[in-house]
Amino acid sequence: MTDVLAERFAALADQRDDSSWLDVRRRARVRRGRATAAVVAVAAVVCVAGAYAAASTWLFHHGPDSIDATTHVQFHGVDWKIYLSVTPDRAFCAALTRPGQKVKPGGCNLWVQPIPLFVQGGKSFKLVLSTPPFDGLRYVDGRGELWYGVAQANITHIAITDTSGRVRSTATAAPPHAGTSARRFWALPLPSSHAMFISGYDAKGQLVKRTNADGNSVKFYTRP
Amino acid sequence: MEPLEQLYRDRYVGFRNALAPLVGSQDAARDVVQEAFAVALREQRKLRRHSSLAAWVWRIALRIALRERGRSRVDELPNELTILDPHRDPVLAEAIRTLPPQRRLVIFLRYFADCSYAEIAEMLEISEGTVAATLAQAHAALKDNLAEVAG
Repeated sequence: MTDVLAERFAALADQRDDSSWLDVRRRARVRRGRATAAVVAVAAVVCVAGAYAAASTWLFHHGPDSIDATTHVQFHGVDWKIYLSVTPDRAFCAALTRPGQKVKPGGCNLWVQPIPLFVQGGKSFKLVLSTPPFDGLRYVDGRGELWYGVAQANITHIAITDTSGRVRSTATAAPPHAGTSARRFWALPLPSSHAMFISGYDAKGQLVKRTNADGNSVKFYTRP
Repeated sequence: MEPLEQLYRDRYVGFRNALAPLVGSQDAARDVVQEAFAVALREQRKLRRHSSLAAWVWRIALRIALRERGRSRVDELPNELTILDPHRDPVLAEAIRTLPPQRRLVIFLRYFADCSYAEIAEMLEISEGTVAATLAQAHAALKDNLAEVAG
């Protein structure tokens, strides 16, 4: 006898195999590290995965309506200069340039996410805007991705897991004397892979948020 | 290859597909499965001798999925829970909705994860009779819905 349910479910099933045992092992190691020494968790991930931490130096400028930050990142043997700017209305914009080329727009993002606020016993809701822990944009070329973005004050590290399960991380940078409400900035190249997850960690190495690289809060990319 | 890794390779796609309706997307379900196996890898020593590895990992995954939805118990699953994209098969989606929400997991495990009655019973901590009855009820509902559409 034909199982009608089986037939209908078979038509709906997503047979794509995006499994990664490497990613499972990495996640297991991250938690173990946290249990013993939370502060070194991010570093542990990086070491285990054979990744490297990008050490970026940032220059900051406080404009009348914005905080601007600039850094240099090596990506495919080229010195890219990245400008990031955050405005009070929680937008951030980026521009990229490399030697001998004009500055090109690196994309803009409204650094907010809608959160449903349920009222009247959960029967109706309205959307309120909230600032996610971090946000990012990326420049994609044929071989890899150059990521850059902003983060809230408590996010001290950003780690990107690529499609092979490798993890790369970088420290976020805050303007000097900016206090605890400072926006932080980050840039991270993936020379030969593409991002799958982006994670934000606090100073104790605790995961604050992990998001799919194509997910809600990190979804734009650009080709300058 | 370690048994847990073997289980992962055998069941990853099925578990992901079975969890996707609970967490709302394939990507979110992937994250849940990855996290569940990571927890299992870390806590392998906690596996009781009489438990099956698949059931144990599934229960970890279910706990994580429920937490993602802000729920702590399987009987708090929402009434609207059904297949991920109901518009792709509205008749099937409706047939599933005729079941109590927590019983809908039986269907997802059976048809997305290809689990046996015995496995489902252990995973959801219910009897094999309940598994069989739930599947029969879903078949009947689907038959009724199809007749309604045709009629």
